Amino acid sequence: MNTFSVTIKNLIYKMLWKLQIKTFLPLQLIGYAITLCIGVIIILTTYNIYKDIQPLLKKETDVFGNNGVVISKEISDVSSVFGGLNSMKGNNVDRSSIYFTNEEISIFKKQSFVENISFFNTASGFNIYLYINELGIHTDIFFESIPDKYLGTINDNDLWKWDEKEKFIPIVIPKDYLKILNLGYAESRKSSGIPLLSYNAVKWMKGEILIKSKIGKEKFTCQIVGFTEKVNSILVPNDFLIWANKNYGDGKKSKPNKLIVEFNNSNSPEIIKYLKENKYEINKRDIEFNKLINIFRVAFFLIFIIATVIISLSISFVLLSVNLIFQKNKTVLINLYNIGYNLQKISLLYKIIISGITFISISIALIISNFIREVYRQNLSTLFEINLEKNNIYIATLAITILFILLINIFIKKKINNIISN
Amino acid sequence: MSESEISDSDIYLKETIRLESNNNYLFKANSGNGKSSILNFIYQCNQNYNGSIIYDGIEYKNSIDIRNNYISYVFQDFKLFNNLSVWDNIKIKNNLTSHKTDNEISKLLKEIGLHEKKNSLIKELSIGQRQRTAIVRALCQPFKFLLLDEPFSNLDEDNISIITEILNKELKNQKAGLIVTTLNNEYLFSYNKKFNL
Repeated sequence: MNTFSVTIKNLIYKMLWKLQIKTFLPLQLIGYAITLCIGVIIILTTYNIYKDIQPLLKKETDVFGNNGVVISKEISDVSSVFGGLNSMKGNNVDRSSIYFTNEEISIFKKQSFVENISFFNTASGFNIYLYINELGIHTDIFFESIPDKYLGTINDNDLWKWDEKEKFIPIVIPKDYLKILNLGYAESRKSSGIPLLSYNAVKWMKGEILIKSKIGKEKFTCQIVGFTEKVNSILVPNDFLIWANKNYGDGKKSKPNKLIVEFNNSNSPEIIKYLKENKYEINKRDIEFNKLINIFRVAFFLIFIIATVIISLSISFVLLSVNLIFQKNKTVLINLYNIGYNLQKISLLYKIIISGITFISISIALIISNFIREVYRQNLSTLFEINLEKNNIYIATLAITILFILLINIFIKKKINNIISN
Repeated sequence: MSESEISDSDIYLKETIRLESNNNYLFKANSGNGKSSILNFIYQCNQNYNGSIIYDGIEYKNSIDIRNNYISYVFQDFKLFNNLSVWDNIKIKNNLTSHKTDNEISKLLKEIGLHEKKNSLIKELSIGQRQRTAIVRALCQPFKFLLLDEPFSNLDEDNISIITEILNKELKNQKAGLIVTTLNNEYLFSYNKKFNL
């Protein structure tokens, strides 16, 4: 019985579709399929590139994160000459020109491009000595710290913590220090047999820190756990410096000579102008990198908008075409209704064809965009270490396609209903 | 006026007109007096009327069921599909109802002299041939009433005679009523009631 009813149903549609298929305009449908496909390819590829390149742009190879830049004051020739002379004469050096005053910081904070300003914490009132016997290094050093949120990859490192009981101090040094060690210091002491050190080799090496002040002295073990290209300073955990200043410091609050500034729009030309006017120095690499990220974002956004416009036009185009088909074949639709075909049956072929074309177009677009993703992945992998994760764009596209097809079906049904009801 | 004939004033003044299957009715009037409108109201393809039309105690609106099982209609303008053949035009209705076999349809086409033209497109046929196609199509469904709107306006005497015989036979088989509008030819069927509009 079921088989019988299915056969009858097929027969109904066989003749009905024979009639309705002649009402379609193939060129318009092909046009719709192509424009929809192109629009979806552009939108998917743009999204894929944006998502895939994002980790590369965000990748924090430096321990100092990408969310802030270090700004200091320019040291003028006059202040260094007179400062040097005074120093040689045993006079106190006037260093006031390198510090940021409260007023300067306050004005800086009020600038429209500034999101936030943070400070370095400096070791003050005690001396620090570093001993690395394997390298024959016995030297005075200094420590500074910055809030943890500005530290990038170092956050993942279990060693980056201060525990008073363990007496262990993790240290981050500028990358250039290692170059000086390998190419300068080691070269000048060839006879001492100082080895050439890689970044990883240094991280395995342990040293000793001695803190000396009027109050007393204390020894600690230390280890270099990371390198930075952005900060010309020796960084230790903020907690340690707070502890050390409290226990060995002179209680004087150090004045800020460096600021960590977060910009809300690093692309703003006002930044460079402001820094120049106030004779503030910045690592230009930071600004250039941030500019690059912003240019990428704007470009992707524009392409995204263009693709959306293309898709919108193709949708409008097919809806207009469908409407045109219905208006052109008004008599056929009305006659079908008059001889006993219901709205469901009359609209079925139109719904199947338009939904089918939409689905196929978007599926082809998905395949092509996936192919494009594979091509650029191969190209990028020669330049960067890139791991493409499975992204949810395909599931999202499928969901949007289904929603979109549903809307088209509602449109078709509504239009036919309007025609046959009047 | 005989008892079976209702005057034009009667049809509009009466609160209810009751039509019964197994009876034949004639709506008679000059052109433009609303003969087709009455049939369209009954068939529900025109709903611009006041009042109600009730079938077996139920008021239907836009009922496809009525069109496929209770009322069949030969439209004055035939409502055929020009891009389909005679055969396809009939099948497009019969596929919906499965009322007649292909052999029965072929037999009907032979009887009305259209078998040779069964594969011709409607647009290639004369008005008379189109009218005959529409009549065969109307027979491809079960019905309690058959509505004929000027059914023989384009047919010759021979064809009228053949078709009248086919229709009478089908009406008898289905125990259905007939509602005809016509300007003339009122002698072709025996009517239980005539309405002058």
